[in-house]
This record gives sequence, structure tokens and C-alpha cells, in this order.
Amino acid sequence: MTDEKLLEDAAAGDETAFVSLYERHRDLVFRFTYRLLQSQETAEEITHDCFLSLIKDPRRFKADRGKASLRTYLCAAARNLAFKRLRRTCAETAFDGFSEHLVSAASQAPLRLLLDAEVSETVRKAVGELPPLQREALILFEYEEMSLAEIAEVAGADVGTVKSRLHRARERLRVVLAPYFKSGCRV
Amino acid sequence: MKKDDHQNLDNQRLDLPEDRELNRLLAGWQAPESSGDLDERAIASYRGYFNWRRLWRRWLAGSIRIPVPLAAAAVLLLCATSFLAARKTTRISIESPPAVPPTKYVQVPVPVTREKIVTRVIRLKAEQGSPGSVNSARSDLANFRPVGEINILVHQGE
Repeated sequence: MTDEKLLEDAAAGDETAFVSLYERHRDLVFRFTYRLLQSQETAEEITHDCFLSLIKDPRRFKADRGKASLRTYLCAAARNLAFKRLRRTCAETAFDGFSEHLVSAASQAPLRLLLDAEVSETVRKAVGELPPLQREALILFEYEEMSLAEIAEVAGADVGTVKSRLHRARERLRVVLAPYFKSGCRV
Repeated sequence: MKKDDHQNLDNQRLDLPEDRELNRLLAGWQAPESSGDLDERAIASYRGYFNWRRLWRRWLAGSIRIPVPLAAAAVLLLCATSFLAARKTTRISIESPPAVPPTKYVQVPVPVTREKIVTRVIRLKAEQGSPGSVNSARSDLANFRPVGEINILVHQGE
């Protein structure tokens, strides 16, 4: 069943349709928001709010249906909520959820896991230190495998701008993460 | 489309070892799973929203079933109450005091006479030593002494 049909049914009160729609897109919205804000709690709140606002006012998506898929629409909604929070908290980021994640990984413990956890933590920090717009472009491109056109839709920018943001983000990460390159290459 | 974008973007750099390394490192950062709590909250919010809507809909477009005799009695009672209320309103309107006629304001043109106000003050000097002047009165009363006895005679007027 298509997203549009599921949304129509869910907006009419069909709970099964809502659950299907939610399960289809929950992980995308949650992962994207989590990587953007690096807080599990906030990412869950935003995911929740995204779906609820979609159900409360499905016409917003219908109005944009010609150019956007529900996937990009939800990402754009999550992005707006996330950036609103970023502005409100002055880019203050919570790391509690992640440190718990790290501890559980470390407790399993062989050296390999510990090293992976360290690398993962370094990548997380490096991505977190990117400017929000570059971070957004990188996350959607690298982790959610969106095309440049889709990212442009989410970000409300043109493809060239997205490309430039992505390029700058990767350049910056290449410098920061250079010590972890296996081949020992330095930029 | 994604592959095309990658190719376009990384045309110059994809073959560099740094990019492969970068992709490998980026892939090492996994996002955690969302908690089951989120699912419960989302579904609860969805149900809550629709329960609330249903409640409003019931209030606005709901119906109840009433037995015909009860409905007829209710209608009769309503008619009687309305009739009594209408009569009471009429009586009150008869007994009520006549309304005070509204005050009429008529504009009357009044001729205005302009007067010239003169503010000049003229002082007249009294002549010294003249009878009736203040100074002479004071000199006359200086040696005044009251008499010891006064006899009053009253004459009948004509």
C-alpha cells in the first residue's frame, strides 16, 4: 500500500494504517534526528512530534505531494524541529544516551570492540562539530543514502548548495579523522 | 540516483584512499535503536487525538433515543413554559412606567452685544480740612469723653 493511502486512512482514524506508516518511516526519522542532535531523548521526542503533526494536518504533505515523497517530507519536518531546538539551546548537545551506548559496548569488551567504540566516538564527535547545515547534508547523504535532489528538498536549498555543503563537510572530516586512516595517509 | 550523485560529487576524489577510509570510518558510527517507549507514546498520542476528536464529534453530531410519550410530554411542557413566559413578559411591558421622552436640544441664536471694557481708574484726592474728611473726623474725636448719664426722651411722631 502506498504512503499516501496509508496516510489517508490513518488521518481518518485507522490505527492499523498509522502503525504501518509509523513503522515504515520511524527509523529513518529517528536516526536522522539522533545523528543531527546526538541525543536519544530529543530524537525520540522529535520523531513522536513529527508523526503526530502529520496525522493532525495531513494536508500539509498533500500540498507538497507533487514534489516530495513522504520520506523527504518527514525528514524536512524533523529537520525543522531539530534546528528549532538547536537554536533554542544554542547548539547545546546532550551526550548522555551515547555514553550509555559506549559503556555497554565496552563492557562486552575485547580490544577490537573497544577500538571500534573509540573510533565510533571520534566520528560522532567529528560529525557533531560540523556546522548544522553541513552535518545535515552529510547525514542524509552518507547514512540515509538520499540523493542530492532529495537532500535539496529536505533542506529547502538547491542541489549546488547541498553539494557544496557536503563537499566541505567531507573535507573537514578528512582532516579531523586522518589519524584513524589505516593507510596512514595525512591530508 | 544515489550512485549517480556520488559519482558526480566524487568524480575527482573517489579513487583516493582517504575517501574509502573516510567512508569506512563514517560507517562505524551506528545510531542506537529507538526505545519501545517511543512506539507506545506515539500510538497512545494517536489514540488520544482520535478519542478527543470522537468526543467532540459526539457532542456536535450525536443523537439520543427517547420514548414517544416522554418526548410528547417534554414538548407540551416546553410549549406551556414558553406560553407562560410570553404572558409574563407582556404584563411586565404594560406595567412598566412610560418611557421618559427624550430631551430635545434646540439651538437658539442669541445676539451678542460687544461691550468695551474700560480699565482706567480715576482717583480723586480729598481736600485737606474739608468737613466730612477722615482727617477732620479724627481730630474731632480726639478729645471725646463719654457723659456720665444719658436721659433719653422719646417724642411721639406726627
